[in-house]
Amino acid sequence: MNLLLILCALFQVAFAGGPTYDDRVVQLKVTWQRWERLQPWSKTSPTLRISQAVVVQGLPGQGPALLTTAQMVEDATHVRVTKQGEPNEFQAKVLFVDREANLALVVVDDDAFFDGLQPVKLAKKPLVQGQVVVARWRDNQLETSGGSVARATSIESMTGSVRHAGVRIQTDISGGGWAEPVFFGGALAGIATSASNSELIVMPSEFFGAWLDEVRNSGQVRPWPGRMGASFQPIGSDALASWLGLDSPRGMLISSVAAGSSACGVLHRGDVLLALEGQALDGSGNVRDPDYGLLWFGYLLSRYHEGDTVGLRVLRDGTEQDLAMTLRSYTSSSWLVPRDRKEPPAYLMAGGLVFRELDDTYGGRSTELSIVRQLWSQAQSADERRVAVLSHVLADPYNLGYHGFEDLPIATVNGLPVDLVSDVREALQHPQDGYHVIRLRPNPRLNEIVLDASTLEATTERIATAYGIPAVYRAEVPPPALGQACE
Amino acid sequence: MSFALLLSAAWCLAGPVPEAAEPPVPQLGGLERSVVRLTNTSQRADWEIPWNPGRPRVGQGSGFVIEGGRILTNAHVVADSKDLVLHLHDDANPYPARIVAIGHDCDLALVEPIDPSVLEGLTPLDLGSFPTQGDEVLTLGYPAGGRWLSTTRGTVSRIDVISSVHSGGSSHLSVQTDAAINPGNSGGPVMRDRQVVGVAFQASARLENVGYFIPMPVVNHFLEDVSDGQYDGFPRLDMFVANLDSPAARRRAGMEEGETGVRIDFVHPASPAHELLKPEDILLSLDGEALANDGTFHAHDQRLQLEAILDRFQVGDQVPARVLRGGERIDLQLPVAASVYPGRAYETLPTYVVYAGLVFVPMEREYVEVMGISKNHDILWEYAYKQLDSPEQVVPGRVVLLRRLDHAVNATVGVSASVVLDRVNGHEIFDLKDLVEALDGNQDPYQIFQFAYVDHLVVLDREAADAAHQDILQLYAVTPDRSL
Repeated sequence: MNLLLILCALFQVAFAGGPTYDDRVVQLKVTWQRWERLQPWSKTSPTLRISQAVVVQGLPGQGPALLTTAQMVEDATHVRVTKQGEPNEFQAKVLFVDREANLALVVVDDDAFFDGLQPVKLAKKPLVQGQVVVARWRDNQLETSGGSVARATSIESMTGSVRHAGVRIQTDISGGGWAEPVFFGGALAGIATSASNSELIVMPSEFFGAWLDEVRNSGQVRPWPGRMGASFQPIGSDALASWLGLDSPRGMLISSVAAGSSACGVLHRGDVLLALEGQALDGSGNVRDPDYGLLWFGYLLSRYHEGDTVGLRVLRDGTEQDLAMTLRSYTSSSWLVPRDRKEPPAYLMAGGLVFRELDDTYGGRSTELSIVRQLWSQAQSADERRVAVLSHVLADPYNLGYHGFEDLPIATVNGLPVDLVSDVREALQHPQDGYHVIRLRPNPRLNEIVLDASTLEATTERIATAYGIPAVYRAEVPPPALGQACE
Repeated sequence: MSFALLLSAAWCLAGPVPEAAEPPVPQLGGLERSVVRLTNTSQRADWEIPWNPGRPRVGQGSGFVIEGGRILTNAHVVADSKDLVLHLHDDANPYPARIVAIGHDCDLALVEPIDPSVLEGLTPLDLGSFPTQGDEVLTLGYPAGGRWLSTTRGTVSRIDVISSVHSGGSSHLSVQTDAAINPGNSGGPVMRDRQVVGVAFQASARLENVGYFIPMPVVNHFLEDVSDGQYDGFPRLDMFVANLDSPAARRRAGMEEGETGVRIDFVHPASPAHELLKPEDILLSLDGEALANDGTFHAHDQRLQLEAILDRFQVGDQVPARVLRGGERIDLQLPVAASVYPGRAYETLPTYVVYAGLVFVPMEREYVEVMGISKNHDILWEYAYKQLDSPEQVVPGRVVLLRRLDHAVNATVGVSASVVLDRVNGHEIFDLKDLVEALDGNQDPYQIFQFAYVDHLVVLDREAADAAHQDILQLYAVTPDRSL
């Protein structure tokens, strides 16, 4: 029967002339669960996410694998796949996930799954124009939709900070953006990473092709540089350009450089970045890609990894000079308010007070949190690695007077500065004259919380039982080592 | 059918009053003649386009005659006035009037007819006392829906300290009633028996049958304040206090069993009490009134917020206070002044400087409201939070780029609106005067603006900017280019 299927497939290609997709595209079913924001010890209701994956050659010496985006396997508790509209599900597991790049490889232990399937061919040329076919499984049928390349764009990973070139595709597919493969001339030209209205945002095969090669060759992907770590100002006006000593508006003015980033120690505030790897930046920070046209220059870093060196041309003190920048891995985990986290949220419940670390998964409505997020989200320093927050208070006679307070950033506990949840826990080992004193960052409502230290431990236990909290503490993954400060 | 029903109903109403009926609310016996209608033509500047004088609007409210040939009304009835006309009950003539005194924090004002003889023959209304919950009251005034006097009846529903909409946050003792209070009622008297117990001033837009009036203690405070011809306002301590419902917090503060009070978290540096009242002090009492752990005190057989204590004092008075500090109970005399937190601005014109299409304004309340703090956290921080967090970094003032009037000369500056100006040509900028000096005194070929938080540099070619300046003023009808 397998043979028959393959024959049929060959027959179809040979005689019908058109490419087939149903033997290259499979359906991915992922049950996923997140941690509850207000009960970080519990998970949300399990939910099913249905998406697509394509068959690719697996690691050397292994069978085929399935390629999809990291987003599709996010928070997975159970992964399975179906093929060709058949009802039986095959258990699958995530072999490798790269959240920075938003890519994942899924494998199926049962070799029978791949019977009748064959690896996709990757398009040889960048997808920059023309008609494409978008394929996905729906109700046991392969649904194909036509589309056309609308324009090039630079895409930032949905789950990390890698930015690469890509395209937007105008299509009549509805509700797309779930890793649907995009074919051009029968070869896989891209994977949809998201959608807006009738446009699919598509990661091109040249990006994930290089990624696959690296995974196959070394079994891993070298750390991505993420961001350069400099903030830039466009040089849009003649006046600004001539004040800087430029003949015309071009390049980006460096406003600040983050500690520990690739730019740190190389670029300085006041420099003008004129070119990266020979690609000249215009006054808006765009470079002209030979295939994709004008794109924000940041996508150039997607071609490099940690340890690679890139050449920069800058204007400094009125003279142009060439600099070499060795790339470091600088991601949002080096920020004061990290983004794109995958680890379970750290928390501490003590005396009914629930402490958390501020990150992008933490909701919260207070003005104090919005200010931190808006003004200082990337401003990690040696004094302040993260922001510890009083998330809310589980009401109990012990914490009477503090019921209803929520989302307040914390300055100190028992006089000790606290950045991390583990700092809060440690500081609670050092009561002051029988009391725990929690100082909040200034706000118009409350400066200080005082708790009776002698009964804290017993009370915490009692509240944990009363509110059904299985564990009162989950440690954080510590922030990466802080790099040296830079000018 | 309806015809017959109507007839019988009319008959019933016209019928004799049964002898056992409740005695009616005493008739006003002519006192209603002392309730007047005020028509105010106001003009309020537009802080979004600060050179615009604003559109004149006509509003109507109520007032009533008190001793001394004056009419008491709400501040919001006569605010931003360009012209004021008085109408009397049962008199079709309009009479020009003028404002004698206005208190925006308490929403009260005194006006008088330009011709004093207009009020001859009208009986000044008696100012009564504080009502009790459940008292029956009458509201008199000229609400929307007609030109003539309207009377509504209700009871005293609640006594509370609430903030007045007109002031933009100043809280005072107020009385809630279910007597209908609608637009136009504002400034009219609320009467119990034949005496005024308050001035109707606002109603809840969300809730039904919830109107508020300003009771006599607040009215008398206002009248006493203005008796010297000058309005000083209600005194405030400008502090933030924290509740002490937590027994652990009370014990740690050294309070005895049964002792109550609130913890001082912050006292504004410009408050006259700043030198006397320290953060961490426990405020036990004010003017002899023991404060509960939630900051309330006992009055009128209930709890009220402590602002009602401060309302007993005039600016310049000293308020007796008892605090617990370092284990000792200390008696203090706290000097009080009008709040340093600005209320809404009235009868003032916005200040601004336009240069080459960049509109700079001081970081003041009206501008902050126009820009919106929910989107502009840098302004929120500078305006409200910085003094709490890092008082040592607070600067005398801040100038903000309100907006840009688009023109070739500024088209590429990269910032458009609501950003805090830090320096111009290297000079720190605290107010518009600094800005003008930094711009006018500059002979370099460039005008250089540095913005805080966004870390953005704007460079203009000075000659080109100067040359475009007049064009932009004409194009966008900006006159004059600055108002300091």
